[in-house]
Amino acid sequence: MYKILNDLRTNEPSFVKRLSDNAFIPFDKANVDYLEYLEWLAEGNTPEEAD
Amino acid sequence: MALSKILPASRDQSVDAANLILNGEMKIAQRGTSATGLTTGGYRTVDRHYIQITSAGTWTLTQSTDAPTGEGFSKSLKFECTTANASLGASSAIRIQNKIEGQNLQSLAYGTSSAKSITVSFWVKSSKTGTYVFDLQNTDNSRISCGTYTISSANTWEKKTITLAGDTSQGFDDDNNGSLTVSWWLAGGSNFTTGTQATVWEAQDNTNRAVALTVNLADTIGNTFYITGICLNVGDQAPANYPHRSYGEELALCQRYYQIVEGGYFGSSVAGVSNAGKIYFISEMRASATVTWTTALRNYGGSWTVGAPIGFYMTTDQTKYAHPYKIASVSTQDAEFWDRYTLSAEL
Repeated sequence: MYKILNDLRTNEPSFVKRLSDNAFIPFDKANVDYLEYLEWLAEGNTPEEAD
Repeated sequence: MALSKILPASRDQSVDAANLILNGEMKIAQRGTSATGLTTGGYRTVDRHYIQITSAGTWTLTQSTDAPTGEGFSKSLKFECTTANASLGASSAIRIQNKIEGQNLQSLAYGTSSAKSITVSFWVKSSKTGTYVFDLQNTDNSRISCGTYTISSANTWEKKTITLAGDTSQGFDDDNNGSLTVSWWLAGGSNFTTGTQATVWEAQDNTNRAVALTVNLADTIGNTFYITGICLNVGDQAPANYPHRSYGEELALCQRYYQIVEGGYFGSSVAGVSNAGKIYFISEMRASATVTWTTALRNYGGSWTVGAPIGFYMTTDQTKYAHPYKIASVSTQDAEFWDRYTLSAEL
């Protein structure tokens, strides 16, 4: 499970938080954790909305 | 004096001794020296060696001090089976994998008529004799090439050397993403064993990858497998002397992919307002890093919530630093939060 986090300055989504270990994952397609998140999305899952 | 006379003795001059494998001596274990109860994969214990465990028993991994005597190695990666699986499923697999960036593979000249051979050498010790499989996977172009080696004496350190011809057909992307995955197979289900063993570069067909593997290391509790002294070099022979790196050199190379750092905020706090700190990375990482809070070190003044920050201010490039922020519940001129984090930009 994941949760979207917004940048406080821009209020735009800037990170996704992996809830199993509270890892903050940047939106970078060279980051394998982000690629795993994209695969999770492609499987039809939905992250929690940003606060 | 000729230049060749003053080269370090450890550098074999007849082959390219540069080792494309990081942490081949298993010296660096930033995540810890032991991990137990493992039924799934990941980076465990020693740096840079990804462990795949899929429906193949339960394992303890250790950075072991058991190493071949007199060869200059002091550590090894040890597998020990704690729950067996003697009847592997189709997708079962145990592999040790080392993933290499494409930009570090350009000297191989793959995808050209000048493609160079790769030689991999390593020391192994296993409680199970038999034929094992080692494979190379070009993940940019879905191609594989495999070699085999035999462990003939149980529980005895043996050195293995395998040379695989270069691939004139397809090259590697010249970037910071993973392009070559090097794998040592310790178990494989029928999804990997029912084809014809690949021995030269070919289009990836997983059924051709572990056909020659006669061992299921997961078949009995107490089975063990050790590996160290891995060298993967360009050319058709291994260097005569292992290209050792110092602990500091090896750690710095591994920190491109994983680091443990400390950082936070020091200054005035204003109640109800977010206060952003800074984490400086030890060195530039391969890609924008995943940041995970692990330990509270200091919390002073602002009555910060102990634990992970609320979030991070986005930076366009999180390869060198990151900005965690927390919201103070008390205003003071002297406040601090300081925490420990892990950073991951693994392949």
